[in-house]
Amino acid sequence: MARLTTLQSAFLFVLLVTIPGISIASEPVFEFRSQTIFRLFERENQSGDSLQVLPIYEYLDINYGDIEKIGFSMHLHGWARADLGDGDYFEDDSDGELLYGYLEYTPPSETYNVKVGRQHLFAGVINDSFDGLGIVSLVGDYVSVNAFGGIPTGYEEENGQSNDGIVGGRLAITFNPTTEFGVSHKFISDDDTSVENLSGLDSSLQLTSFLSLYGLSSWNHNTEGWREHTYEADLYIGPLLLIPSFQMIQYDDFFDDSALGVQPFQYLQDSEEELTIMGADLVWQFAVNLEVGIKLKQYEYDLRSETSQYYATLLKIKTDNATQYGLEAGSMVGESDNDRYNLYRGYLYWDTPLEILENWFISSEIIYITYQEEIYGQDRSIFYSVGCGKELIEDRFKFALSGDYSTDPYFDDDFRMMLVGTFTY
Amino acid sequence: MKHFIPIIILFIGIILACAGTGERWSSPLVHEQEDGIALQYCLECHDTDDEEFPYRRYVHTAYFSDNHRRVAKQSQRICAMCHQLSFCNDCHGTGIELKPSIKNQTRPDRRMPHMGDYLSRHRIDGRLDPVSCRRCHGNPRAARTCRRCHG
Repeated sequence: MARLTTLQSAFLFVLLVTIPGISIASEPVFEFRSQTIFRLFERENQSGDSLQVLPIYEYLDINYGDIEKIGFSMHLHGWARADLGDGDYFEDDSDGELLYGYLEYTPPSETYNVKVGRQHLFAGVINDSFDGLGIVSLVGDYVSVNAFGGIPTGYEEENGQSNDGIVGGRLAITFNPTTEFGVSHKFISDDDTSVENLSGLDSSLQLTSFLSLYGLSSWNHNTEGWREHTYEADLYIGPLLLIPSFQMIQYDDFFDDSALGVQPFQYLQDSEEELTIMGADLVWQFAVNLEVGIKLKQYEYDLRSETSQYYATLLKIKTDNATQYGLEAGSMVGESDNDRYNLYRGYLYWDTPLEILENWFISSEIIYITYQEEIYGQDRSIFYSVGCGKELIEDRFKFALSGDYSTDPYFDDDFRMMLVGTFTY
Repeated sequence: MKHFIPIIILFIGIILACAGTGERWSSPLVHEQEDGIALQYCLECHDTDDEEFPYRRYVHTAYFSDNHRRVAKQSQRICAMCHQLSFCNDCHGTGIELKPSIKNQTRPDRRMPHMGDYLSRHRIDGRLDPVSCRRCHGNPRAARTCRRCHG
């Protein structure tokens, strides 16, 4: 495939040019984080037999290089799982995944950054994981360039990956840290079929010290239509932050996944629906430790000629240490009864609950939901979790034990347990 | 021809990256960590009226997790000052198995996506706002969780 050959050439080119200038960190740091998770729950198989599911997960996070990220560094993150239970609950799932693994180089001037390997990039219309090459460069006083290419990791490997590819980039003009305009593009092919071919324009603009605007519009080249327009503002009025927002989405252009067969979105592709979401988040910071939030959203469907609203409010209190607790309530109000629910939530994260429990924490969460129309004969859900943990070796080892219970339309009684051990080096 | 535009951008990026020019303000690569300081509340140390950098934009208010896309898509470097990519991957990674609210069950203060019994609630949210589903479950591997029921 000519595209990948080009990328391979680019990769070699970058190596040849950057290697002479590479400065290995004078005092490289090795960071290692292991998170071992034991879970226990029960599920019924298709015969109605109850099976114990007992997965053990190991998450590894390894960083090697300069702690200030200058010079050459290596980053790895992934997980693996073994099931010690008596069933085959995970038989259709992968037993592990390398989420990222890349070599990175940033020169002392910090004017560019190169990553080679499996990585995830967020930039403009790009929010993708891929195996390949990614470059960010600051050019002059105003311009930055982000370019990448490789093989996307989000696509099936049934037909191999030799004809899969992802390439794109973002060009941004940054007048100052408060004002930036960017143009971005990504092109993904799966088995030589163009599955995503998007361009986007994004902006952030601080008009005054109390008003900023943000926006993203994206264009789908495959359908030749506007995929979405999303525009928001930050308006500060004393301790109040108001975030009005506007989104307009064309389903035919947004759910252009016909080549992928991604369900359940495929049937939306030719629906010709247009969704407009208008709303606002209001955050009132009474004090450093106390916040109240209000969220309003209105969904308008052009074809269905319907509207739905979501209303929510939130109270968040934190203390001087990491302790935080809060309450939240929300209501989804669709036009029909089966599109309506009310949500109530309370949570607590209590750091060092008593002096004799130094380095301990207690956590708890309860979520209660009522459905206007029954789902599988149930009109409510209750979820409750409680946990505790302790840092046994300062900055090195801690554990957390938690359990949760749910009774809802899908599970009459569902108990689950989890033990997490985190070791950091 | 239009498909070659990204490749051209890529090569321009390579060339410009290697040129390495420019003297301008940019954020540090790593934020200094101090004991007892909660980095998510920038204004505990930084001035709201700072004209050089809009610290207020990055304060993790109650709804920050709902709205962080707008700043992340422009300045991943700012996120990386405090967060390892593994933190972002708890939600955004391709091939994650544990939903973030389970993996971080003892941190309910983080308001992770899919809290509690979201399986039931998603029937309604998915009908009314499938766009929010598509943002994360839009590629075949991320949609595996959907296919168990949706085919």
